[in-house]
Amino acid sequence: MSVFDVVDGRFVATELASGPWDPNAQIGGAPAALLARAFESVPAADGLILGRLTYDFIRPAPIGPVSVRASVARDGRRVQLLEGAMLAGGVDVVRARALRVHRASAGAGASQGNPPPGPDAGRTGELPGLHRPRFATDANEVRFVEGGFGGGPGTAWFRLTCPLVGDEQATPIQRLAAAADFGAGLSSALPRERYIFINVDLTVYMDREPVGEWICLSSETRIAGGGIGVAESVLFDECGRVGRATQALLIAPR
Amino acid sequence: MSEAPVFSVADGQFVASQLSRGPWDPNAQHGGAAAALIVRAFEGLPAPEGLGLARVTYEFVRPAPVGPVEVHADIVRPGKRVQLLEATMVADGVEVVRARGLRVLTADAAAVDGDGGPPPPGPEHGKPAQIRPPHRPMFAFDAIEIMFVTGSWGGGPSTAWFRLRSPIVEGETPSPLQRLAAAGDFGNGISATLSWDEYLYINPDLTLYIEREPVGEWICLSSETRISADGIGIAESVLYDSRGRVGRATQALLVAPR
Repeated sequence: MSVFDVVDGRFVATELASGPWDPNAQIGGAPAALLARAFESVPAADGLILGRLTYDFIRPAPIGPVSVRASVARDGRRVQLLEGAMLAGGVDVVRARALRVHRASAGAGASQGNPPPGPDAGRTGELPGLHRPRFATDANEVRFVEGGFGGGPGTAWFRLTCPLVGDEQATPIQRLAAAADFGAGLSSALPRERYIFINVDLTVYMDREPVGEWICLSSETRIAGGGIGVAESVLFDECGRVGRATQALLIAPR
Repeated sequence: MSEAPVFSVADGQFVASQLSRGPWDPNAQHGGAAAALIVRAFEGLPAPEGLGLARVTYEFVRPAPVGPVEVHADIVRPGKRVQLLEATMVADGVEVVRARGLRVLTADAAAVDGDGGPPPPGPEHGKPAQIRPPHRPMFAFDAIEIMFVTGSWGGGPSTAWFRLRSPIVEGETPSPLQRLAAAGDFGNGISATLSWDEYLYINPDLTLYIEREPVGEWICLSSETRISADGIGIAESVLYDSRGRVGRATQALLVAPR
C-alpha cells in the first residue's frame, strides 16, 4: 500500500496520508513529499541543488483524489525558483515554492555536527491520535532518542516504510519532506484535549541533499506571550546535519 | 532620525534612494530595503483582530534597482485565523522581488511555553563595524547603525545590533516589523567566512519567522553561515529585541568565485 495511489493518471491520497486531527484530512508531510516529488521532476541547469522548500497549507487536503502542479517561476543557471500547488476539487489546498541554488564552489567545511545516536539506539513509543491507519503510525517507523511524541523538546528518527506513490521508492528528498512536518507534534507541550496546535506552514532549508532512509528531527516548540507558536527542528540523516524545518502554529482552545 | 528616506514617493511610485544600496552593486538595493518596504505593504492590508505576522518569505529574483519601483500586495487566502498574503516589487515592468506573508492568530496567554532566553548584551556594549564600505552612501552604515557585540564583519559567527536611522518611506516613522525586516537580511554579511574580494555569497532568498512583534528601535542578529560539503551555503540568524528573542532569519546563499 502507498500514501498516494495512481488511478487513471491521477493521485488519490489513501488513508495512510491521514493526519492526527481529522481522519479525512492529510497530514502536512504527505503533500510536502508529493510536491517535493513534483519539484524533483522539473529540469534544472547542471550543478543546481534544492536549497529550500516552503509550503502554505491553506485548506485541509482531503483523503481522495488530488492533483499537483509544479513549474519554473524564474529560471537561471545559478538560481531557479519553482512554484507548485496541490489541488482538490479544483481548489488550491497547498501552495509551495522551491529554490534551487548552485552548489557552493568554496568555503565548505564549517562544522556539520554529528547526528544524534542512530535509529538503532532509539525506542519505539506511543503516538497520539485516535484513528488507524494514519501517516505517523502506519506509513512511518519512529524511534525516539530523547523525549516522546508531545511533552516538550524531543529527538526522534523517522523512516517512511511504504512507497509514496504507487510502487515507486521514495527519494531521500521526499523522505526528508515527509518527516520534516513532524516537528510540531513531536515537541508540543500543550494538552491535545484543550488546544489545537496545527501548523499552517512548513519551511525546510537544506544545507545539502540527504542520504538514506532515516531522517532525524531534534525539535522544539516556542510560544511567546501574545505571539505565535513556532516549532523548529534541526534535521539530520545518518551522516550528520542536513538542515532545519520551521513551522508556524495556529494555537486555539478547542 | 535623519530626514533623508530610503524610499521617496513621487507620482504615487516609490523611488529607491542611494540609502537603499547594497554592497554588491552600487545600482542595486540591499535586500533589507526591499524587505522592509514589502512588510509595509503587508501592514497596509486589513486583518481580523488578533492576527499577527508569523512569516515572510522573500525571493530576490532579480537585482532591485536604485530608482523607481512599485509594490503590489494582496490577500490571496483570507481567513479569520490564518491569512496568506503575496507581494511583488516591480521595476520598469519587471518583477524583482516576490514575497509571501503569513498572518496567524496570536496565542492566548495560557498557552505560553518555552523561554526564548535573554537578549545578548545591548548595543551600548557594542563596537561599530570596522569595515571600509565599497561605496557611499549605502543601506548599511548610512541608513542603518550597526554595533557588534561579538565577532566582526565577515569574521564568522557574529552578534550585532541594528538600528534604522532613516525613514523607510519619506515622512513615516518605521514600524517595529519594518525595522525587523530591514535588519533581518544582514546575517550572511556579518557571519561570512569567505573573502569579500574573491567570492560572492549573495542570498537569493530570505525567510523571517516572527514569534512576537518586536519592540523598540534596535534589532539584534546572532548569525552563523554554514557551507556544506557538496551542498549550499545557509546563513541562520536568531533575532532579538531589547526584551529577548523574537524569531529567526534564514538565507540560502549562492557561493561562487567573483
